[in-house]
Amino acid sequence: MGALNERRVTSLVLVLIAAALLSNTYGQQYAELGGAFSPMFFPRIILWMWLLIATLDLVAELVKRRETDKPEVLRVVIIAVSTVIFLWSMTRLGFFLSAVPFTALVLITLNARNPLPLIAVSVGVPMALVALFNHVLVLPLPTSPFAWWF
Amino acid sequence: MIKTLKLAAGTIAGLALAVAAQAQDFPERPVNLVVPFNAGGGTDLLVRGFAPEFAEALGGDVFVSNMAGGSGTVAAAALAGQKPTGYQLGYWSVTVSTIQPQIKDVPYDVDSWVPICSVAASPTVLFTNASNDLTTVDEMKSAIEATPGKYLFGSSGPGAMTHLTTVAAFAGLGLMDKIKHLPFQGSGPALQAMAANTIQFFGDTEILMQRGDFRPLIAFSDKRLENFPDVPTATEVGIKAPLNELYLWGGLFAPAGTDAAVVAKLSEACGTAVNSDGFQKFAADTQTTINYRNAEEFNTFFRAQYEANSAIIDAAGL
Amino acid sequence: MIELLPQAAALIFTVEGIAVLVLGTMLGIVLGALPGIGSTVAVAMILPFTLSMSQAPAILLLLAVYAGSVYGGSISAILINTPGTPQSAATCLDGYPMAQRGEAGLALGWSTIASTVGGLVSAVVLLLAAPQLAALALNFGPIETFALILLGLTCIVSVSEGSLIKGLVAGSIGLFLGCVGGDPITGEARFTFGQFQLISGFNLLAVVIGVFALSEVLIRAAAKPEQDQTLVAFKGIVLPPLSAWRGRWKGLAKSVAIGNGIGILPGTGAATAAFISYAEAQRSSPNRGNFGKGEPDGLIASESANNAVTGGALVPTLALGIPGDAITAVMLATLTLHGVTPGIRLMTDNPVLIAAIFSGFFVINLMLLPLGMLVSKAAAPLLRLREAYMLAMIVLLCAVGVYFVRGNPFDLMVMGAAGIVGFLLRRQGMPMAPLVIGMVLGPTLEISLRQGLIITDGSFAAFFVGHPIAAVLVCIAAGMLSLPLITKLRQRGKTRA
Repeated sequence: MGALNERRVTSLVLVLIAAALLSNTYGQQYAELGGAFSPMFFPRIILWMWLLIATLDLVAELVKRRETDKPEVLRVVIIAVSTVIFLWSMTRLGFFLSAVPFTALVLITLNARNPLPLIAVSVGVPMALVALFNHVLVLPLPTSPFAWWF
Repeated sequence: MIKTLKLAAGTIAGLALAVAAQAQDFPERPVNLVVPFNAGGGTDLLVRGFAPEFAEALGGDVFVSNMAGGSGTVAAAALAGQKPTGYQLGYWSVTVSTIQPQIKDVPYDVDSWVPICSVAASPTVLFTNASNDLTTVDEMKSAIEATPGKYLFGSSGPGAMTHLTTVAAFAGLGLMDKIKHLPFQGSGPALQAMAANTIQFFGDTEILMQRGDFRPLIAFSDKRLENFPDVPTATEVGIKAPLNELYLWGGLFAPAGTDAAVVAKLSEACGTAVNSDGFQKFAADTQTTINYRNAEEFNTFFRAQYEANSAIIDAAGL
Repeated sequence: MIELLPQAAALIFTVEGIAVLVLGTMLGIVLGALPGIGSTVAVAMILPFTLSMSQAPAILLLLAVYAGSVYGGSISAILINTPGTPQSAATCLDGYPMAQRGEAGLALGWSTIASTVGGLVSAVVLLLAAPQLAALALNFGPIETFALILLGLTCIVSVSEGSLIKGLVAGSIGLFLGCVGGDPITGEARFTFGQFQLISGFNLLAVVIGVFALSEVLIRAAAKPEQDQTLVAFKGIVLPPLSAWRGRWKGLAKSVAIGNGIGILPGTGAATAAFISYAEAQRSSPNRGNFGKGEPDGLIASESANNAVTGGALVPTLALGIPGDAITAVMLATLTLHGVTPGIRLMTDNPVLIAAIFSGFFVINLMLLPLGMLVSKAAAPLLRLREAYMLAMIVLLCAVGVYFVRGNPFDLMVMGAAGIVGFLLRRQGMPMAPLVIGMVLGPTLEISLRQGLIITDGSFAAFFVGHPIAAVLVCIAAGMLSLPLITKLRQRGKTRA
């Protein structure tokens, strides 16, 4: 796999992020009030610390090669992407309409193929949550643009 | 895509909600009052006390929801982008509606709203710890001038009403370069620091001041306060307009473009609710100073405040 | 205060009073156990119901929900690695490993007893010495707070299981995340990159739930599929036998003291207390080697401390009329609604009411054990579901919880991002607890440091002149930081040799 592996890449990315953020604190137009009054006073301390330790970590990773176990990439990607879509759409399409397809997709991805519990959970759980929060506790979850009651 | 879905859902479920609400039918579904702060704060409490009376006056359901963040701007920004149906109203304070949009880059401004009605307004007061020997404004002035940099005034955060009150006081008296500002995260820690004499001055409403052992120095109102007739107003101690009057007010706002008939209906219901026995009792219990203005009066007041507060913001260097 | 107890008891032991205490505690436990609902939302939900009640029951209901929710947060922390409230984040560290080992019931047993003891002791302290303690807390200015938070940060070293360097990187990331948003002194936007939503910073609970719970879901999904596996085996609370407590009493006592002490200070909070107490336990416990792998001492430390905070937080609230956090602010507001003016005269003007509040608080803590058993018994069947169903439901609950924190759609995206980033970092062996600690303590560290520098006109050296408490705390922090480093270096030297 060459010199790069997952651990080294992650460590490298962390170093780069710290460096980018740090250079950003010097480039921007912040009020230079000096010392404790400067908004960048504290973040600079923290970012220097981050950069320094992350560099040490990268060196440690480079000195000793360590591998991570192989993940089920497809499953993780499906679940991660669908979670983000669900979180995005829940305040737009409403909780119920977003949660049902999301739950079903997660269950199918995780090998739950028995149709009865699959449908029961993916429809029943969101329905129960909406009923509880929107109608019993009157602490409403986001509703769909189509009807105010779900 | 969303439009197609909407049509489909409308036909299938037979929901006639795509049709714009007619004013005479308003409200056909629950009205949502958005509180721009976390549940449990002073504003939240006020709105939750107001909601049932408002619901009764409106002849429909009213529910309260919270959306906090960015000193209230997150909720205001979200509501400014909503369709002006009249079913979502925000309870904005003076800071959310007139101060934050002038100091932060937020996606709303003075023209994003149709003011519905104002509900409450209390003047702010500059006060000090009762255990120190500064009993009058003159004593305070000479003490600060004698030892520049020794005294500190606190605030509940930069840009908060507590900050603007102290700034109005010290800028108005020409003392800004002789006193230091120490911001806190919220009024609680600031008042505790006041009790410990870490800070010497703080500005907030009368109610908050009465909680501790504090001594009022200046009242930022047009006339002297009923409970403290000996405390001079800001004008009396020589603070010039527009720094001389500061009110912590709040009222209901709808997104700009809301149907005028709906606004009139909401404004009227709001008036009935504010004057109801239930809300009057609630206000008396919570020491809230009620101040009802209808849609028209509130609109004039709101725009005047927006202008006046920009002067204080300049003085605070925000 | 003690002589008023009979009158106070007459206020509490009415039908309404008892009903309020039992139902309130139960509701608090359930709401606290739901990730994200947390103490503040739970208390705010209950608030409208208190409007129609009389003084004492109204306050008792809020207190019951508050104390119940703090305890309830530990249930989901242990069973599904999802802290119901930020103050339960430290409970995950040893609670979840125990649950994975099949000892979920026992873990809950330890945490329940620890919570109860923490709460009871803090109730007694309240009853005996609230005014004196409140006066003492006033000695804690920004400089002392800075020193205390510095001490709290040293626990990053102790919770960095595996790799110290990676723990410190995670801690720095957490501290940085706490800097994002409006500057606490000048109000300027920092690191928002034009995103106005970021002015208020990253929401703590959204990040906590993301890096703990959501990343766990992804890690589970990434592992090789095993058929019909359940997440954790759990039938109900199992109380640890008395003999198992041997050698743990001292740690419990210390944690309770830490929780009480920190609760009294304004603006520090239960999450800080839990982490500091955890760090101290790890430094001094005879079982320190097992921390992070499911050691009861770790559970005891965090749970007794965060429950002791509930009592401590009432001290400045009731004695000075100054709320320490959002929840005590709600309580003060409720008092006002019922015609009681909060403030320094509160205790002198309403002694019986205050005595009733304190003793009611004692009763609430006594009920945590039986009610906790009841609630977790009811929750047990849910946990017997297959892993796939559990994982899907965890995501749904996390979304609901984070949405309710402040109804902000942006927070949901923050949680999603935190989950994915947390997953990537955890695959690399980076512990997530230091990140959370950094984010919890960072903002307080920054504001107290800068406030201190404003007071001393920019001189850091002046922090230690005339501030003996601060000096002592910083010395302890330095000691805690260097000790494990020295031990580690020595061990390394030995293995090499």
